[in-house]
Parts: sequence; structure tokens; C-alpha cells
Amino acid sequence: MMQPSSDPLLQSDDFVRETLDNGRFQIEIWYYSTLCDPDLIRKEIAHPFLLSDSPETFEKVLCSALTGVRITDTVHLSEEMLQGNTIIRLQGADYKLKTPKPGNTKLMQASTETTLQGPQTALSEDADTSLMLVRRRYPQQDLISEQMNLGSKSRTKAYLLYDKNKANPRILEEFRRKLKAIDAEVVFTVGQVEALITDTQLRWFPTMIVTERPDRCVLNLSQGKIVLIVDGTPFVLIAPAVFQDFLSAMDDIFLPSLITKALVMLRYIGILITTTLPALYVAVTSYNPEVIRVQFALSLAGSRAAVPYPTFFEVIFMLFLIEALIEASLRLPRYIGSTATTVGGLILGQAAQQAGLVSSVMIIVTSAVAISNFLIPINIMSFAFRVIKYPLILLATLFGIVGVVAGLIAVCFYLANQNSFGLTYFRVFIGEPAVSGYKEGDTK
Amino acid sequence: MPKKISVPLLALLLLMLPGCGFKDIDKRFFVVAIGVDQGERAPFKVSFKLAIPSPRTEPGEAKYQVISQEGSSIANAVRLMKSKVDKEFDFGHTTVIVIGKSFADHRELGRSLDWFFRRRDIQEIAFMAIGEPDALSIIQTKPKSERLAGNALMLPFTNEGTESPYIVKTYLFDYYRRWHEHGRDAFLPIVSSRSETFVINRAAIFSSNLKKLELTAKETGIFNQFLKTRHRFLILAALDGKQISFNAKVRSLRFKLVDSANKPEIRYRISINVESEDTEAPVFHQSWDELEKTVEEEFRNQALQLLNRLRDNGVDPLGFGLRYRASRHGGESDFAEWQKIYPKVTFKVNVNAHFTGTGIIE
Repeated sequence: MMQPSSDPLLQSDDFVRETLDNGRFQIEIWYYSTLCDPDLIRKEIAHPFLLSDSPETFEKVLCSALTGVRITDTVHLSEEMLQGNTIIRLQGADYKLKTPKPGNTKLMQASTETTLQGPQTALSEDADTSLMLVRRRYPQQDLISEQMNLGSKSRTKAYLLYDKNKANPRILEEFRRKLKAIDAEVVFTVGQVEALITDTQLRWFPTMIVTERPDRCVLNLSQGKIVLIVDGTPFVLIAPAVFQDFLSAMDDIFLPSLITKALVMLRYIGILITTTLPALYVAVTSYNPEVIRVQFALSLAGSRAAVPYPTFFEVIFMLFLIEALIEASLRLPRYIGSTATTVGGLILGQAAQQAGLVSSVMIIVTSAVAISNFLIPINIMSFAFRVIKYPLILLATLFGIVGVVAGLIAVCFYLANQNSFGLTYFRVFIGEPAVSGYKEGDTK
Repeated sequence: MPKKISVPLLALLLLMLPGCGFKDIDKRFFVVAIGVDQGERAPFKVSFKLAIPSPRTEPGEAKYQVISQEGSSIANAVRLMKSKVDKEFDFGHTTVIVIGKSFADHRELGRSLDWFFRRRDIQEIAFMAIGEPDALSIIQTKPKSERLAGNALMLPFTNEGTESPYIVKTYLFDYYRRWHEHGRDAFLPIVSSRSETFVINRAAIFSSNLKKLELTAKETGIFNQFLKTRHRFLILAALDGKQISFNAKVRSLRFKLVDSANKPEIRYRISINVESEDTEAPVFHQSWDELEKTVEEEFRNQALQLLNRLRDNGVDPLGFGLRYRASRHGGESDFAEWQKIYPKVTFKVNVNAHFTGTGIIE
């Protein structure tokens, strides 16, 4: 079946093709040495082979082993091997045995979505380990996991997880259908999956949660939502979701209720500040200085006196710098990352003002915008809000406060027009059952 | 038109709409106070107090510029003033409009000030006052404590700063309203300047845009209580020849209009809380009932004096006429009726003082 020169299998140096002989009969085994665990092969194949006195005995041993299966379909042999199987050829018949090398199963600290006193570990990059983490926290036989492979070339392993009794069958069916319809060669991450299963190309606000927290997975599973674990990334995709979900941190469950309410309010105020403050700065300084107190109007005028350029230039300049700083500190290697913040901080802090490029009030505006953006617990949502402020600045430059208000109304319309798997998106709660017994979000 | 073209075209058209509203804050001149006087060659002399912004503000360092212009109308004067400055006037923070005393004494105010009533940016925020000896000198006064130009003149009116029982205040729109309302007359505070400070402790009462009456400081204090501003005020009374000052606060103040055919009456019921503030003799062991009676008597006399004076001068800033019209069914004729009744009205004032304490001495 294999032609020595043309078969791509043989061109890979990590492909192993061995013939074993114990004196009584022979077997041939094929596997990728990088994908398979040699210890396992030795224990499950070589050792029993040595002790077997006839091919029949060995066949029995093989089939009684944990995952040994006789395969009749010889066309997909290479695919089986690429999944970490070892193929054993015994007297013309093919058997496969799962001998995967354990992946990166090390548990890492949650890094993008931290809580103060909640669980500290994140999900694993290995899908099976992630599934293990979720199952341990939700030991129910109703928790169904459907394995599937995403991407025509990458065949990335993925698990669709849901609670059979709680998940909405219509949404589940739709989710499954969309996953099956994914038309991509390689799939690496859940964000990509989200893009691939969303109908529209122009995506702005996330309609599915991406999280790395096992506790968030479990909470959402118990609320009847569907979780998609993708191998190779510690993040999972949760759907459906409403706007409020992106503004709730896992801390909200265990903190005293009044503190939670205050924190949620803080986040909403943060959103308002991060979206509107630069636009309002332009509107107030260039169109409607009458809305602020005369005392502040005069000191604002005083601080702007040295700035020769119009306000929108000032705002765009500062916001560009801060966005560049945020982006740079994300991309830079950790060792030189502090350089960017130091240099950038110096520029943003003092020098720009002393150079007469921006007013001192603008520096406060910039830092308020940057800081309050980080109040949003789910990262993608905070990115979405980083984008809104620019159209608002344009509107403020053209129409003043009226433009800002109109722009905000337009954003609300847009949000209200969104949906997540047919459910209204722009609302606070779907009406999930109260499962944590605490979070205001899950009381009806 | 195909959708592909029409949407960007519409957006482009929208971009052309804003016009020239865009003007940076540092290119605007904030007019913080406006003075209106009699001109020498023209009917109006308008003065602007223009605040000069500076990044650092210190008490007494308020920087400003005062410019004046005479003109045949206020609008005309303002147009002419525009050519005297380098930045665009911004009336968004014009909090005080000072009218010169001689202007207020000789001219009717309503039509003359029409320009102010029509400005959307001034009409809802500005306070009106009469300036003594003239508006320009009020505007030019520079108190030592002033951090930002115009603040010293503005803060007494906005309730952010001092709360004096002698300061009455009238918004521009309130003046307009009282001018057009039958049965409730307008009043304005009188501001006089003393080299480095202002004195605002009197009020002038207007009827049909003409100044009719000027109240003394003492009367203004009582008048302010009748306006229900609820500021603490002082009642001086004597008991057994010893003077006692009472710190008083009005708890409730209401009146009733009794209109019997030939004896119209207005009955006031006032209750006040009082506390002795300084005394020439200890009062703690005195009968508190007696103290209350003394205060009641004193306050009643002062109130009656004020009310009678208002009636005798034919002015009605407390809105008796409005109450009369509101409780009758005769339409327009009610007001004519009231004008006949008002001079014959007798006032009855019933004061109920409650003595809350003698102060604490440790």
C-alpha cells in the first residue's frame, strides 16, 4: 500500500515504520514518533507481543487493550496516525491503538481575566484537560460533550459542552449546524470560531463570551448555555450571551451584594466615560462651553491657551499615543515591555503638555479614558468600546454636544438591533435560572 | 439613485451642515457681566466685563478687561464692540446684568432690555441687578478675594457663595415673567460698590417696568423672608430694656386673602424658630414664653410696616393680585377689580415663634 518514494508519510523524518519479530511471528507498526508516546507503545504493544506465542493470542491482547480497534477502512490510515494512533499490521489486518503523547496539560494561572478571591487557575490549552476541569466542577451525567474536528486541514479537536436538560434545543441545533458549516482550512482559536459562525462580516460587539475561567464555564453551563472548548487554546466560547454578561466579573458572585451592585454601576459609568469623554471634551471646548461652570471654563481656556491646534487634533493626537502605547505593551516581549510604558508615560504625562501640543485637561481626559476602559471584565468588549469613541469624536467635531448625543443614540440602536442566537442582545438578563444563589444576574 | 452612491453622498451633505459653530474655547472671550447705563451721546452705554483666562488662578489675581460702547440700541453697541476685541464674544456665562441707577430711575426697563430677553444663551442664567452709582463702576470693581473675573459679583446671587438675608435675587427670565404677569411685580437688588467690595443689601420694586420704590436694608431683610428664601435672619428685640438678638428661621409662611365687600384683608400666618444669639443679660432662666412673645411682637411690627409700605406705594411683589386672580372667575376684569381693592386692604400678621435654645456656652 505504500510506495516508498511518493508517499508523503515516508518523507517525514518523524514517521516510524518498524517491523517487530519475536521469533514466532512478525508485526509491523507505523506511527509518528512526535505524536505518540513511546512508553505507551512499549507497554501496550511491544511487551504483549514479546509474550504472545501466536498471532491469534496477540490479536486478542490487542483487542482487549483499552483502545485497540480493528480497522477495515484503510483509506484513512494516515489520518488516524495524525490523531496520535499507532497502526499495527498483523497478518494483513490493520489495528489501531490510541497512543497519544500527552499535550501541554500544565495548568496556568488565569492571566487575562483575574479575580481577587475566586479560583485562580485558567483552563488548559489541552482540550481534554479543560474538559476535565469543567467536569470536576460540574459532575453531572447530563453534561454532554460532543467531540468534533474543526477546520478541513487542521482538524482541530473541539468539544461542544452543554447540560442536556437546560440547554435550549433550538440554539444547540443552530450552534451545531453552524459549527459543521465552518469552511476554513485551519482553526486555532475560539475567537476565530466566533467569527466563522457569525453571519455578518462586519462584527463590532461580541455576541459570544470568550473566557479562560473554568468557573465562568460552569456557571454558564448551569444557566443552560453552550460552551465550545477548542484544543490548543485556554479560551472557550460561550453562547448565547447578553450585553450584561460582558460586564459581569466572576467576583460578582462572591462579593457582598451591595458591593457587587456598586461595582457593576462603576463599570457602566466606566463605559460611559471611555466612550464619551474625548467627544465631550471636543464638544464642550469648541461648541458648548456654556454647559460647564464658568470657573472651569476659564481654567480650561487658560490651559488650552498654549495649544495652537484645534481641539480635535489635540484629542486625536493624544488618543493615538495612548492606543499605540496599549498596543505596544501587548506586542512587546515582556522583558522590554516596561520600556514602552515608561517612555510612553513620560510623553503622555508631562512633555506633551509642556511642548504646547496638548492642554493639561486633555491629559486627564486621556488617562481617564484609558483607565476606565480596563474596567470591562471581558477583553473583547473593552476592545469594542475602544473603537466607539472615534466616530463620536467626529460627530462632536462637526455638531458639538448634539452630535455626541445623536451618536450615542445610534450606538444604542445598533446594540438593540444585535442578537445572539436569536435572543435579544441589548438587555441585562436573559432570565437565567438562579444557580449561584447569589448573583443578581441569575435571579429571575 | 443607487444605494451605493446615495449613502456616502448623504453623509457628505451632512458634513457640510455644521457651519461655523466650531470655535475653540481659547478663541472665545467670556463675557461674565454686562452693564447698561445711560449714554452721553446715545441712549445706551453698554459695558462688558471680559474674563481673561489664565492657567493659574490666585485670589485677587482675577484678570479681566472692561470695554464700553455707546449705541442707539444694545444690539448696535454689541456689534460695535466686536471690532474692539480679538476673540469672539461668548455669552454662555453671562451671569450678571447690571443696570445703572440713573438708567433704572428714568427709563422703563422692559423694552430697553429686549436684546437680553431674546438671547438664548443669556436668558435662563443671568441675574439682574441695579448698580449704584452706575453700572460701569460696579463692573470695574475688583474685590481682593476674587479668583476669577466676575465671581465676586456672581457668587452672592447663585447661592454657591454667601447666603445673606439682605440679598434678593431676580433672574432675567423671572423679571420678564413678572413684567408680563398681572398681579405680581418685579423687584431687583441694588448693588453699590465701595472701592474694593460690593454692598448688596437693598432692593428696588418695579411696577410696569418703572421703578416705584426702594427698600431700606432692614426692609429688604424682612422682604426676603416673605419671598420664602429661608435664609437665617436676625431679629433685634428688647426685653426689660436689655437688647437681645435672635437668630431666626422661617418655618412656614402663608397668607389668606379674605375679601369681604368693604373690608378686604390679607392674613399672614408665620411660624419661625428663634435662638438667642447675643444678649445683654442672661436669658436662660427667663420665661421662654415671654421671650417668644417679644420676638413675635417685634417681627409682627416689622412685617406690618413693610406690607403697609408696599400697599401704600401701589406695588405688589408678593403676588397678592395673582392670588386674587387665581381664585376668581371673572377673567380679565378680575385684575381691574383687584387694583381697586388693593389700596383698601388691611394686613393682619400672626406670628408664632418657637424658642429653640439660648446657644451653648462651654
